[in-house]
Amino acid sequence: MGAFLALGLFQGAVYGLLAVGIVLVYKAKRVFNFAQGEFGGVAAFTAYAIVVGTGLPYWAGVLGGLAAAVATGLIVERAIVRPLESSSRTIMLVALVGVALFTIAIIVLVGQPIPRVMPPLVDGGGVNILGAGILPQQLILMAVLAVLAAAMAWFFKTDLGLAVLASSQDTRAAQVVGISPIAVSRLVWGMAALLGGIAGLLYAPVGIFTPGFMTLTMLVPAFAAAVLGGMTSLPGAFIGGLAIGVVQNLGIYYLGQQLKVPGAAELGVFALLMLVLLIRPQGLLGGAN
Amino acid sequence: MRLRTTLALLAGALLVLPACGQFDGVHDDFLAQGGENPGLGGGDGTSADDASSGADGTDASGDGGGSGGDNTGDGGGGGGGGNDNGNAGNGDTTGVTADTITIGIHAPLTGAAPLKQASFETGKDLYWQYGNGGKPVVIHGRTVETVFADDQYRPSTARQVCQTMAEEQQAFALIGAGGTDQIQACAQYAASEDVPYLSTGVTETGMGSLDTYFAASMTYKQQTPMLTDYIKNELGVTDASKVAAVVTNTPNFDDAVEGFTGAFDGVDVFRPDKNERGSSAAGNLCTGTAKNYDVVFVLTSPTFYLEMAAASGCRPQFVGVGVSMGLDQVASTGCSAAGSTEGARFFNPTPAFADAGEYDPDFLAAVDAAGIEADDVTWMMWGQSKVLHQMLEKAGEALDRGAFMDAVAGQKFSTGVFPDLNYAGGPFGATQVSVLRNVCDGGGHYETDHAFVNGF
Amino acid sequence: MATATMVLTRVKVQRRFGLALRVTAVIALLALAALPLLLGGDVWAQRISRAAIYAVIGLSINTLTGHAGQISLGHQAFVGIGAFAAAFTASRLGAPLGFGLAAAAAAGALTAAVIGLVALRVTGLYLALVTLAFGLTAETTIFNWREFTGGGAGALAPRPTLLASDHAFALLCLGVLALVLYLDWRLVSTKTGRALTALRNNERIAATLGVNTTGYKLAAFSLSGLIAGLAGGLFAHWNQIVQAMDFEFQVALVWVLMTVVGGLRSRLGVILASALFALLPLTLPNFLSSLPWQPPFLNEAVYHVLPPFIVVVMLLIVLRCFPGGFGQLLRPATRWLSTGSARTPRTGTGGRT
Repeated sequence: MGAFLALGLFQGAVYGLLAVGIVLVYKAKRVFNFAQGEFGGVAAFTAYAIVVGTGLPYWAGVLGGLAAAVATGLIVERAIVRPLESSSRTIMLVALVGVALFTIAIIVLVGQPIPRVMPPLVDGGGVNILGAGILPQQLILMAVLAVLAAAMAWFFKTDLGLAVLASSQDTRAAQVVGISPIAVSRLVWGMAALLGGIAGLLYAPVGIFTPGFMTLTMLVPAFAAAVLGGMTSLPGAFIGGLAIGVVQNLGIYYLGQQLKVPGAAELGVFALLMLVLLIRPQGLLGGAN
Repeated sequence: MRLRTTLALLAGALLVLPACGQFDGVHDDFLAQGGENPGLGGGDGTSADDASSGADGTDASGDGGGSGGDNTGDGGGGGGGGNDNGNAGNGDTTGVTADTITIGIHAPLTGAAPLKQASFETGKDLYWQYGNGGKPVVIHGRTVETVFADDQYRPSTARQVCQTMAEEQQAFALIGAGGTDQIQACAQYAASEDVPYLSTGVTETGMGSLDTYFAASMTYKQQTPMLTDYIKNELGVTDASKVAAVVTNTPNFDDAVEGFTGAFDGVDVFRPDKNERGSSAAGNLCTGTAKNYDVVFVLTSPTFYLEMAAASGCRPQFVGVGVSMGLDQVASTGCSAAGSTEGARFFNPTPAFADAGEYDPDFLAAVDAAGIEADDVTWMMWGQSKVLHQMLEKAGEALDRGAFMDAVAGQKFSTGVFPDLNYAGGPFGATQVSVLRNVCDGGGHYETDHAFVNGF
Repeated sequence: MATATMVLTRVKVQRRFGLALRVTAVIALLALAALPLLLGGDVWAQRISRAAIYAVIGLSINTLTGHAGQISLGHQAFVGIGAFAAAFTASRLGAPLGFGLAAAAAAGALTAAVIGLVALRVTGLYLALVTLAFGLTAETTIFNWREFTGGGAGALAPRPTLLASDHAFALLCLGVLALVLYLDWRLVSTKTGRALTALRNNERIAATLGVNTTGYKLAAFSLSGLIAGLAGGLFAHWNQIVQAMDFEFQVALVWVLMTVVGGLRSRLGVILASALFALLPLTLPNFLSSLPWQPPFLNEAVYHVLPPFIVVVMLLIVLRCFPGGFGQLLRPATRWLSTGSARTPRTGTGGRT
């Protein structure tokens, strides 16, 4: 029981990290970024190719991975997002689903679709937290999540962040006062890709990674986390992520193992999502922002 | 209003449809037959009666292997419900020409649990092209050609590609290389069209009554009681409270779980869902670095197992059955995750690839002759092809699907790569397994602990 | 006078000739499409059934996304529930096929209505999220519920004797497709269709015009679920067996993609794209590996990984270059076939060469 709580908390940190990127894009562009997970996928596979494939030092892999993620983000922005700026949000969502599937297809074509292991940042055995063995990597992940959520929240208080918000509320007016919508768009997608890349790099060494590992199992809980947090709140994304992780694992423990209900983790996420949308559609910490 | 009219029309049409879709109580028979296609047209009433009595075991059409042992007369093997072409030597020579036999193989290359594409590319023809001392295998004057299809890890696709291979590409027989649900779906198709089908042993659910199906290795249900003996006698763990089973929550693994709990009373069973993360299951196995269980029986996707092993800081002894767990890829990935799978033991159809030369020197010779880089997938395909070769040999020169099934049902085969087979008691004819041990030294791989044992 | 009459006659003759030409063209195209069914044997009959089932699913998504402007990323749940309902009716209750299909459609509609009642209280993109999460839940919870889905060997859905042959079943699938096509066509030309258009264009304005937005959205959602359930029923009988593994959430994403590639609100485009998406993975690898010339850097194994890649590339090209999808590309042809004029977008004037 305690072990499930701890596992959920640290699993939730990954959801939170993805959710921060999702919230960033939503805040700035009112778009559901379905490709957020695959920025992490690109980063993880590039870093793996550099570190394990060519034997270069770890920092080179990290830099290469993040660079690849940001490059992907900028390409997506230029090739898909900006040309579709004027189409409906539904079409934009479908396009981003396409981007995610495209990235997975490329990874499958280039690398074999086999499970891989990324060496962790810090070696060493697990720490016992509430009876669960938590890897040092997961502790780092949690810390990075807290720092990034705080940093993003702070970012939207800076002049640059305010410019992004202004552009999202009224592009024309923002342009009049000298805020270029193109520059804002590039900045937002680049940052989102960087966040996704960090999530992928930190999460890949925790378990085993396969093509699509961020999208296929992480993305839906991450979206649920963002919604739970209010979709525009960065501290909300942090708390939402942890909450979803805990709900999933408690669902597995109570529903799955005690009551033998199949699909307890998904059921938990779905129920929580519905509950939030019905009772408090603005989320836990959503509201004015 | 018009919408409502249209909806009413639609509903009306749906209710009229029943009139043209009456069953003659065929569905009961259908269930008894384990999913075989009921007879076409004509004398449906009588053939349905035939088939249901066959399912009781009184008629040769019920279970090809079961009755074929001592009675190789007409109706054995190719009986197929006794509708269209139930005679021995049924004249169905699809895929057989004067000098070739075509074989169809399906495996997942894309989808949720894909196998390496390149291994299949090189492995599917290796035996047939180089299995005869570096030269092509010749069976009664015919060489063997293969066609291949990706089943995308989806049962409906598997059935579809099997039909394509058997009917459009004219494959004489089909081989399933991996994936329980896909093998089951394809086997059910093959039985409905009287196409011979050979696969590694997986579930027994819905497969026992398929009279064209032959398992080339032990099924999960057959292996699990053996596994309990292995745990008790070889690993020395007799206390059920120190043993856990982690088995994916799919109905097709229910028989494996029953087999295990039936032989080992009181073990804890966890049934994670297929989308769950392996790390969640680790919370059951360990409290920090303290073991909750000494031995853990795993029957999940390889990715799940690897994640669970990586997250289990207490390093319990993992054991298991099945095909995909015994792949060197799994051992190597597990070892690179801090050696988390070191010492894990899995039952496997073949001995380890590392020892292939010891059990079949021809394999290495063929690999040399072909100039390819072999791996354990190639090795597994080699073994399965070899089983099929012996079956085709036994079917004789006047080869057709009926003759093939008659020749295989009730017979014994021995390849030295796959277990010895004896189909006297039905389609699940294997009685041996090999035990592989995960060794991390020198790049993760498997080594053979026991080869071809019948029990522990 | 005389000249005027002559001109009139000539116009009439031309118009008649044009009409005859167009009817011939339509018949020829249909005959061409029917060729594989007539000549291809059981394999092609099964492929055509699959294409028709995909087309019905495409039209189901078209109803929701094309007409009502809502999105569902969990359509595999409705299709799957329909499939298992049909299988349950056929194999457990022993009811005839028609009841099974009716049960499938009803199950799909009911599920969609229940989900819609809750989900449509949230707006726009949240619906995508709710349906996505529901799809995952259905896949792991409902489809793994052994009493309903039949356990072990999957749920069996035997065909009745009349439809036992693959050809007969393909005809049934095409018949259902025609029915759904008719339904879609009727839907657009009614008050409901106009209300949905208003809704799609601007929900707030629609509401001020007195359109019951939630009611119409719910209706569109339920209708989409009904059609999806019906497709599921056909899917169950297509292989005569269904398994939970057939309804993974990636499938739902591909279905949405195929509808968009076909072109929202373009019936012909949706049908063509659906058929393409259904058949590409089954036919392309064999076709490529049978070509006489093989590029050195590709091999047979790569061909099998190619189809998912191709469909996504198609989506991105469609979105960038012709957002109307196949429908947009085909518009000149379809316009000529329906009105006789390739260029004039004017409607209701009839044949002018």
